[in-house]
Amino acid sequence: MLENLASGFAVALSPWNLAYAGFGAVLGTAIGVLPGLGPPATIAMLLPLTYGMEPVSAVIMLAGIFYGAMYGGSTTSILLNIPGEAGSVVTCLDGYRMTRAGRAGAALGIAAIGSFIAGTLGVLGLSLISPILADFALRFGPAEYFSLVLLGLTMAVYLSGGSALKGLVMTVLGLLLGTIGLDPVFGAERFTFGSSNLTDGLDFVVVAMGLFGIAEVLSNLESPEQPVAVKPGIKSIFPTREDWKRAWAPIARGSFFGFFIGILPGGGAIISSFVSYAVEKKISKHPEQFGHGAIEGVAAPESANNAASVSSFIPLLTLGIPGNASIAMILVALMIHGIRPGPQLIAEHPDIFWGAVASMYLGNVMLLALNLPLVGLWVKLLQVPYSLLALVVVVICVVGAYSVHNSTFDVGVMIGFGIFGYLLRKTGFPAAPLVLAMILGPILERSLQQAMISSAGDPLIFVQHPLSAALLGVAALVALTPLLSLMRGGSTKPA
Amino acid sequence: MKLASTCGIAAVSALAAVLCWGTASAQEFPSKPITLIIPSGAGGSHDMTARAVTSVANEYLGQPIIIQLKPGGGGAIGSDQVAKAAPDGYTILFGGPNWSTTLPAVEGRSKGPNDLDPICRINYSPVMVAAKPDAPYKTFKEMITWAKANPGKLVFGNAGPWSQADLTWKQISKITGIESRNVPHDGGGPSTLALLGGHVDVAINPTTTFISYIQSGKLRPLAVLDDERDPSFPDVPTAKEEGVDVVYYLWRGMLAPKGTPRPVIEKLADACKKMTEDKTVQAMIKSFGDRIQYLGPDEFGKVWRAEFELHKELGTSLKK
Repeated sequence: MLENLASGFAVALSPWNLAYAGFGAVLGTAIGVLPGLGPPATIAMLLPLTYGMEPVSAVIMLAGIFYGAMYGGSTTSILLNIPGEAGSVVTCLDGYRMTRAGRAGAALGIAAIGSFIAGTLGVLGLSLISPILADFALRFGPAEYFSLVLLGLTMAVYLSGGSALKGLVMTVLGLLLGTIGLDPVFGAERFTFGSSNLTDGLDFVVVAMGLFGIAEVLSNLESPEQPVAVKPGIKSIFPTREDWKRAWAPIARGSFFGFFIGILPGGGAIISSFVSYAVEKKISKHPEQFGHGAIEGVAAPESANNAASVSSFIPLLTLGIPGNASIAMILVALMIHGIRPGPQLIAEHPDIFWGAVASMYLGNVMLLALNLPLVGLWVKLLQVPYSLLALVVVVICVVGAYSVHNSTFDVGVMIGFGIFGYLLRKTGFPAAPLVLAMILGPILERSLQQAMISSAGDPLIFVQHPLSAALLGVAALVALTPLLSLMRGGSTKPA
Repeated sequence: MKLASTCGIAAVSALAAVLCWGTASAQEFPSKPITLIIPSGAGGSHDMTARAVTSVANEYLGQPIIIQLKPGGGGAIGSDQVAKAAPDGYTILFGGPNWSTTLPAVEGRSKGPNDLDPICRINYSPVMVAAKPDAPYKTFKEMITWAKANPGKLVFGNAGPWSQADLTWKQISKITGIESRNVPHDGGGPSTLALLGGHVDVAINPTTTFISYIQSGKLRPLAVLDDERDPSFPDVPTAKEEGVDVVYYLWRGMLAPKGTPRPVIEKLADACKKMTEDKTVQAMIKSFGDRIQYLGPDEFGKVWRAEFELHKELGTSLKK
């Protein structure tokens, strides 16, 4: 084991591979900061560059882009309320509130350090227990997915700051929006109005940019006073001792959830960021601070999405199955070199597996060294008058929405949801549960259908599988608390 | 007499000029880069093949081919866009059976041979039926017998509604009369994962998807859905040999808007043929576990049309 890792470091520490890892990390951070053009598209564009490289160098560079983007993705969420990546939608909730309170530096700092710790813990897990975890991912069948997603949805209510009822309404609305497109069993079109733009459903990045980014600009237009960008003084740039005391446990828990849920292909990273946020709010002594700039609300999901970005390599490296679009592009790069990741990869190409793992340790250090000094720069950016910053937000959102599918239709959808998001704010409805339900809805429906078809219509499948039964049990417990408070008052905060 | 011959010469030379102009314009094509629209997402098998083949376009066509990804609607968005484009050969489509045959034939969406002209086929991947090695059946025939003895018990994992897996499984079920549970998945990767995890009993995917699991003994191949055995799996029979005549080609090719001039089509097809004969391209395609199987516009057009008519028929008979 250690010997393997040592040989991996020998590969990763060669000057060229070190340079590739650094280049990937820097580029990844850049595209993570700019929403829209995500890691899959960037990796696709750089693919021809890798034809002439050693396969391990190609993986090192492309992996650097992927996890670098996860680092950078929090930046626009915290500074401008624009979620650039799926994993950083939740980060907007408290990260942007911290910025408004003049604590952008602390938020960015904790995000970078939390990401570093989570990333490193993730790579440690990857190098120690990958094969076991691959087995775990395989055991996760439709019944288990259904129960996990159901648990995620019951936690959606915790994403709403105010009334549990309003959170529930938005969750249901999100589920409904998630049904737009082709149904998973027959491929029949639903709510598409005959437009092929809608047959794949709404893209949640587009919806989230509207609901968060554009809606924020619209509501700021109402109040002429400038939001407080940053209070002067070096103390506010970095997290304080008090911040550390509050953040270390959420970072640890976020890393744990991110690593284990992130292994699951298809949405693992996103679910883990929501779950870790909800858990922090649930166990916090001061849940009322969540949604108003609680540092735990940044530390936990940012750690989770970085740990998940590392563990999402496990199905690729041990089974040859890519868990998301970025990882799929890395699979392509390997295949172009005649290497087919699969059950034999570790045995047949140990240099690639261990080289990639070692480069991730190094990449995480590079990213921390790169991102901490950038915090000061980003915070200075906030001193730009809001009238100009608002324009930047709108431009980033429009370009970002267009670049998802190269489609102007998506720009229209984004603007529509921007206006809708503004109305939601006016009426006190939370947007986050809607986005979560929209992402989880299709996974919920598909896994429900799969489970019911494979059990020939017997609903007992959900309790006969022990893991599924356990997840359902937790979901029932979680659902009970806000329901009780709902019955008592109707507008009390879920605690 | 002299006048007549002068007239004749004039007429001939005029004709020649027209002919020359005609060939000249075909020779001029292409005078600018060509856009190839891939109607599926980045990193799929189609994207990989297209990038490999077009990487040498400049050498054989004199102009680069620029790939533009236009995913959405299961391929319908990109297909519609090319069908509407000017038929001048500068906007072409990367075709595949899902969006260029099945979807238009069965669902009336996307664009098929009625709206697009064939340029050429580049390759095809045979698809294969596979099961877990510990399954109670060792061959395709035994699987059918087992399914008949246990009606409604066999769990099949398809790769999405009307995907190659779904369509061929419905055909197999119809021919043999077996009853099974046809579970939908979001593509071939997820259905392979479900098969490896034991959540489904049998799945159908391109051999390229299954090959590494078969080699490592995690999956057992039962049959190839091709006219001939796959050279990579000489011991695996075709479904036809096992008595079930189901054949499916997961092909990739180039398509042009309807009404594209013949010389332009030929020029593109010719360049494509040379690109697929290029050594570096062949090596890349081989590394994907695939082989080049080029077909020119006429032959490919016939195959495509026949496939379209077949799927149309299947769609009406298999749809409930």
